[in-house]
Amino acid sequence: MDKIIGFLKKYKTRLIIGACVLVLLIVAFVGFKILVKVGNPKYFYNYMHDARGSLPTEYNAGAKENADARTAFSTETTSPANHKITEHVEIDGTVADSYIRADKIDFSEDFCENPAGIKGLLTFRGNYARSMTSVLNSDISKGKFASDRWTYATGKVLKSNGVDYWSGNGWTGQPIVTEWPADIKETMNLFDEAKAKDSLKEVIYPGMDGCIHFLDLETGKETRPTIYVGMTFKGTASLYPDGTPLLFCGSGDAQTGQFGENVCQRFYIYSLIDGTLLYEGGYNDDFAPRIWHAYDSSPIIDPATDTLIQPGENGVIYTMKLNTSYDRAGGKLSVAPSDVVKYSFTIEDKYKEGGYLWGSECSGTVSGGYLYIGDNAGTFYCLDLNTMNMVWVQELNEDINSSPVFEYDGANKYVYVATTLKYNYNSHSMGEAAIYKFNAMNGEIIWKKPYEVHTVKGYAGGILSTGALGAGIVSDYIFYSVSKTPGIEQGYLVALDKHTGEEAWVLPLEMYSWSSTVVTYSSDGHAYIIQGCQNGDLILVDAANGKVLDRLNFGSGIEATPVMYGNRIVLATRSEKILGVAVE
Amino acid sequence: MEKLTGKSKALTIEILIIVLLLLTGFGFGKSNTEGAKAPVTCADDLVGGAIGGIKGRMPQSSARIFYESMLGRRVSSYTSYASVAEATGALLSGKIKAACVTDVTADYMIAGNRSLTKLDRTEMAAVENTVEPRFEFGMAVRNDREGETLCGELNYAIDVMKRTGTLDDLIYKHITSVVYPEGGSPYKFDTYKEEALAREAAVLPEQPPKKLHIGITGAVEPIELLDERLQPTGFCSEFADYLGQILNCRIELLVLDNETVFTSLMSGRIDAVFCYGSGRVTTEGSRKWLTTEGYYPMYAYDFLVQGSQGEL
Repeated sequence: MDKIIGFLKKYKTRLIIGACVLVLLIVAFVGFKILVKVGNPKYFYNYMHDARGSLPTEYNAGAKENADARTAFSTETTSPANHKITEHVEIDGTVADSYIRADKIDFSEDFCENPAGIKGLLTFRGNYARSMTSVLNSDISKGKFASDRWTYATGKVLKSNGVDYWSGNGWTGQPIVTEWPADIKETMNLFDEAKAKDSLKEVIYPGMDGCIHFLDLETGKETRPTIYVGMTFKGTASLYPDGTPLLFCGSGDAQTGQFGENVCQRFYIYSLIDGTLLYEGGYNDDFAPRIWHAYDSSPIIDPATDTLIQPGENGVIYTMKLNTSYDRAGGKLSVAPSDVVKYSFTIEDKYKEGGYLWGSECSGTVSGGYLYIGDNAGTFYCLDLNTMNMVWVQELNEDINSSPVFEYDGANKYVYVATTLKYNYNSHSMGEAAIYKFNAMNGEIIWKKPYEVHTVKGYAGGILSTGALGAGIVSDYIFYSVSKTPGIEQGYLVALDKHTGEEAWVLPLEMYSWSSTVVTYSSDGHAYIIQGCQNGDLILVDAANGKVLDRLNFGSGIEATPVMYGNRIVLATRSEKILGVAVE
Repeated sequence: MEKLTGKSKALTIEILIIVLLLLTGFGFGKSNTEGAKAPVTCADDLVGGAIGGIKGRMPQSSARIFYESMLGRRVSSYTSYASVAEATGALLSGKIKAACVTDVTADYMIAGNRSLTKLDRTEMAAVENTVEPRFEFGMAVRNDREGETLCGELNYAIDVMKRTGTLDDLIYKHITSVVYPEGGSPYKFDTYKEEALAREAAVLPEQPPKKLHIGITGAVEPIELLDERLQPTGFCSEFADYLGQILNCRIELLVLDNETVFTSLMSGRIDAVFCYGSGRVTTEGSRKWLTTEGYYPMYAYDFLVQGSQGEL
């Protein structure tokens, strides 16, 4: 003991210096690890402090009035004139002061919720109300994921910066699943095995790897040759809703080449008879108010008037007559787009490059002759498709990535939408994002459910997922995933009472989710949720109470939105995999 | 030491020969070049094969992803070569199955070497088959105040060359007549002239530059061609002469490496890069460079492969 004390006394100074250096090294190492995780020193605060999460709901019962009106209209609050809206219309390349559509568009409730002529999920969230996340009842008697799984490898393409890459499948990136009638199958370029398979359910999945993959839902085997496009797909494709084998999809990033050249994003129309590209449009558009052109928004097609409605992130909404010619027996298919009508708007002193931005990244929803859609500046509006005029508008002032969900409640019509924190964050990169319920007929806000979230450049917080309306025993609920709250990497899966906006239950998520919630129902009336998360978790949840029933982890972020067909789920990760998982 | 007997000598020599053969890889197992020598007739033949291209600003790993997305197939490797000659040399020696070059370069190489051909692009990704040109070759300058001014001056000169038909003459002399003597040129003559005449003429700059250094790399033959002494010749040389005449300034073409020519531009060593991708930009965020108007269209990247003798 004396020796030890003597030693310490003799080398006191050196020991103190050594200890200090050791502490500094440990702190530096920990700091470095945190910096790698955080990415930027300015987010240190966010890793140390929680956001407030759920904030009080704001409710306005009076806003429900006239939700049963037959025609949409504006109020003092929602009148475009009171929001300094300036609209522009171009008809076949010529700027026009006004427009009247010759063949009126009129989407019926039945059509929006259950389009006839095509079995399956034909667009983002299955239908144009954006409310069908699963098809057919699932058999989930055991309440867990089955061991029956398949994996399919995809790939990557370069981002427009020429260095980084887009890989696998990401937001919104939902697959389409359909069952082709036998006679149409016969005319298609399906592989023999797929052609011969009765009740083949085909998964059609454009990916971030710039390819359109075609897989058997049950086995994950390719059903026909991959279509190579070469430009990344981030959004979700659409099928022609009467069963005509046309595929509509849009690229989400420009392509930069070896000479620094920029090949503009565009939207595509493909024949699913033989995989031929029939049309590409929306590129290098001088009419667009915004430099950035991208087409993440899932297109809408009105088969009654053969009209395509394609919102763009360049600030343009395109409509065009497709002039579809389809000889079903002979397997001959063509389109000859004409009557191209483009719409854009701006708000004086608000929209600008580098500020509040034009353009829609989310998908729109339709009802009657109206399109309901939000944009990157947080402007949520109702557009009359037959006059290409804005009917009503609300400025939510935060990026709208969540697609609106349309609800028919008897004669009343409502629409739900949510925001991402992009503009109004404080010095600690925190701020408010919210879920809204609107009166679809006049744009009045019935309730607003806000959350305080974190936001990180490139990895936004808020509500990027699209809501899922419940049915059956959960018919009072709408489900959302809320990202980056209370912790910067955490999130919530919430069930909101759709009448009041109050939380019915909240499930904290270890890792946040951009992926939209899937709701499915078993034949015995139970309701289940499938939720993918950024840490690769796929969780099975009791939709009635938020209890986690089972969990899988795929090792890599599930950012894209899954679909469910019967008891089969198709999902994809950023690590270049499409996966098929069953539940039991 | 014992002398080797006749039998031992023979055995020793046989063993040495076997060792030598093993070292050269001759006849033992499949060599790397054997796969490369298998004929490539379609895009599917490149699956799992080695391809190459010309070194550029894009890192090699990124270039591989880029060409895979153009091809629509995965390859086993991508190698960047310093020049078109090196890349085609690697192709002809079997080191790579395809050389990725611009369409005009591919056609130029095929015109000069009947053992080369190119793959059918219609089997590749849709982005390889856009109706409109992928981009136009133009000159790149720095995105600063000086660069903006210079861009205006160069655009003036290019505009004059277009509206007077001089550009068309240059294209015919150095590209069309050399590469497409029997027709089939994708370039439509008079288009540039008509477009230029349909718009207002650019204005002569008040104080044009006195001397310009323009970087040439030889990576886009025959647009940028180097002679036996590795000096610029052909289209780029005569184009530069006209630039100098129109702007009344001295043009010096500096031969640089394609991988570093862009860095030279950014550092100020040169004022412009002769051959870069001009065209509309649809991504946000500022770029470090500007490009002039284009002077020749590029439709797609081609995959040069070995063909049968006498085939195009």
